[in-house]
Amino acid sequence: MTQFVNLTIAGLTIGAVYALVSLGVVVIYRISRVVNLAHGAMGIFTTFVFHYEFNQRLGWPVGVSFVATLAVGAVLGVVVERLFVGPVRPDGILTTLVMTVGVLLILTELTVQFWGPNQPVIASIFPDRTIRLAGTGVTVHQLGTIGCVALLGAGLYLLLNRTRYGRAIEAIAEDPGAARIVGLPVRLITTSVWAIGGATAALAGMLYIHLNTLEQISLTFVLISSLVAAVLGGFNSLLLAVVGSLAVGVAFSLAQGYVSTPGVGDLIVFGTLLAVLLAFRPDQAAALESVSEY
Amino acid sequence: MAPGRCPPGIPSLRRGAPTPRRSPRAWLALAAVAAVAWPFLLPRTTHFYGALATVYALVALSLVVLSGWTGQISLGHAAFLGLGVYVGQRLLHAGVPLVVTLPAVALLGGAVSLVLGIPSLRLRGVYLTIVTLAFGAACERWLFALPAVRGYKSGIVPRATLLGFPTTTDRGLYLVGLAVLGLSLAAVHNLRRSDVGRAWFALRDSEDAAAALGIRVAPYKIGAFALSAALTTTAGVLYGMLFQATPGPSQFGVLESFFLLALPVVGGIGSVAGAVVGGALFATAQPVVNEFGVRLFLATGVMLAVVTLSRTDGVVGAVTRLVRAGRAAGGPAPAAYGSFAADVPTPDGASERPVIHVPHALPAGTRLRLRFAPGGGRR
Repeated sequence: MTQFVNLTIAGLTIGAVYALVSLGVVVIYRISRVVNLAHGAMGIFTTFVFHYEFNQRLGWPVGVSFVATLAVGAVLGVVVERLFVGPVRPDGILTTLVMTVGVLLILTELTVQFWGPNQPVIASIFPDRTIRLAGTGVTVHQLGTIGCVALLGAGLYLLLNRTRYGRAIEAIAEDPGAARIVGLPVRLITTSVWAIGGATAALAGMLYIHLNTLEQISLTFVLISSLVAAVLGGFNSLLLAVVGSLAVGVAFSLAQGYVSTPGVGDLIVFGTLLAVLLAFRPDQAAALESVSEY
Repeated sequence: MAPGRCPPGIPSLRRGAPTPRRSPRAWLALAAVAAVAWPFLLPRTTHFYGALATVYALVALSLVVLSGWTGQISLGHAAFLGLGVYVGQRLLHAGVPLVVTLPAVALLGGAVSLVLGIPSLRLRGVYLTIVTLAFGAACERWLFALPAVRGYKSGIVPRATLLGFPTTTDRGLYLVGLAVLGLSLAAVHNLRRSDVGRAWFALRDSEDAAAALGIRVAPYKIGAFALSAALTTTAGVLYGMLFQATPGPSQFGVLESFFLLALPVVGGIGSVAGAVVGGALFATAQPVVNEFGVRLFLATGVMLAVVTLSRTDGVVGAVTRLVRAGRAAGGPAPAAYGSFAADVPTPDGASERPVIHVPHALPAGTRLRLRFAPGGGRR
């Protein structure tokens, strides 16, 4: 029983990271119809900046580095959108996907080129303590991760549903041409959403890295699970994406905990995706349709 | 049929002046002779790269069918490649001759692809990409890490003979790979010119329009994916024989799939020639990037970004564009767009019929299409 609770908590934590990534991916997808495969690589790159540059070389306190890293993530999002993905978006969804793969490779390999292939232990942004809760141990990092997701999810929900900015995003997601005609700065808003997405990728990277060994590709595996969760929500609903992420995270953690074969969690994620897709009716799954117009 | 020689009454489409050209068949024969002859002229160390190029070209060809012609993107092809290595190794160890192993592995790859393709490809959108990503992750972390898969016969892949033809040298393996590649190229090229190929192109350009024409979209997409997976798993057998060992799981991991996608994209994803060029380019890329001290995948990522931004169809597209520009610059002033004019008679006197002259000053990216009635010229 204790093991079950512990695994569930670990699963919720990892699910929270999935949720962070899928929130970023869904928000970017909604505004620009781009499935950003480079999202994980963006998170890893910024996390290495956080660790090697801000923490070690400059010696900044963790809190300051944390905020600075979020800014770096946002800037990286803007750079990726403006220089790489934005220019090829009119060429269709296929070309855009290929471009995000290119960006993924560039960022992952730059991480290795700059900081070497070593996998450092990266400081948590939360104090390193364990809280006893009814016989189980919960680290502050785990609680903090779940808290971050709850905050971010709520914040994004309010931003999208209660502000003029959110309404503008909705308008652009519905019809970019019409949005421009009514005078919305489509380009600016799109780029700003990519900045938000980049910042969430940085946050996910910093939260995930402390839980796991840091491979340069690891956050791309997280991205895969997050994409599966995002498919659950039809790439549209933030709430469904979060719920799906938590479910995938718990399933992943339980499978890994009870079956000793390595990689069973990934198998479960793959199986879940197949099951979900089989449950879809083709006409329901139109959300990911390619949009040819800008 | 030679280019530009159409049945009377059907206009031929030319850019600029008609120049007498050697027929593509002659070029093809020349290329085939060169492909067989070069290993006998160059030192033995180069043969390895030749064999690797045939493997890469097969993979690139499979992605040309899937992405270039059907408009779907798979990011799990490294897993199919790994599947070919492991299953091929087992079959070869069990004493199955290579000539049976290759098609058997292809069938297996096609069968596995149905598990992925049927749920995802009956839907529209990028679901295939996500499913293949998850498949690649599951294979890398679970299947290829299983002791039963990894440790089998200490992971050694035997170099079997193909119908008595030895593959113990890299040159022998290259020639076998070349034979497999040649057969696949011919099959895929013919498929492209058949109704199946036309259906693929139609649904790539617009699934709605294809459906309106009565094409059943999902089976064609699933079929293209199955063919693509079958070609890549076949390439896996050769890949395993080349390295004579089953490499670690990360060699067939997600990152490797991203790399494989770059082969046809950089070579030119629209044509079978692009697959061959991409395969040859990336097979020899490792020693080149080592010279500059750059990591291969970093160079790959940069090339992907450059090709995508440049809006050319990779190397083949760029070369075609250059050749066309050169030809158009050399010829006389072309007639107005879409006009009919008498052709300049060629030496064999085969062109006393109307010709549409198209000026080279069309906006970049303009596509001209002529539709012929059934039974008309093939080109």
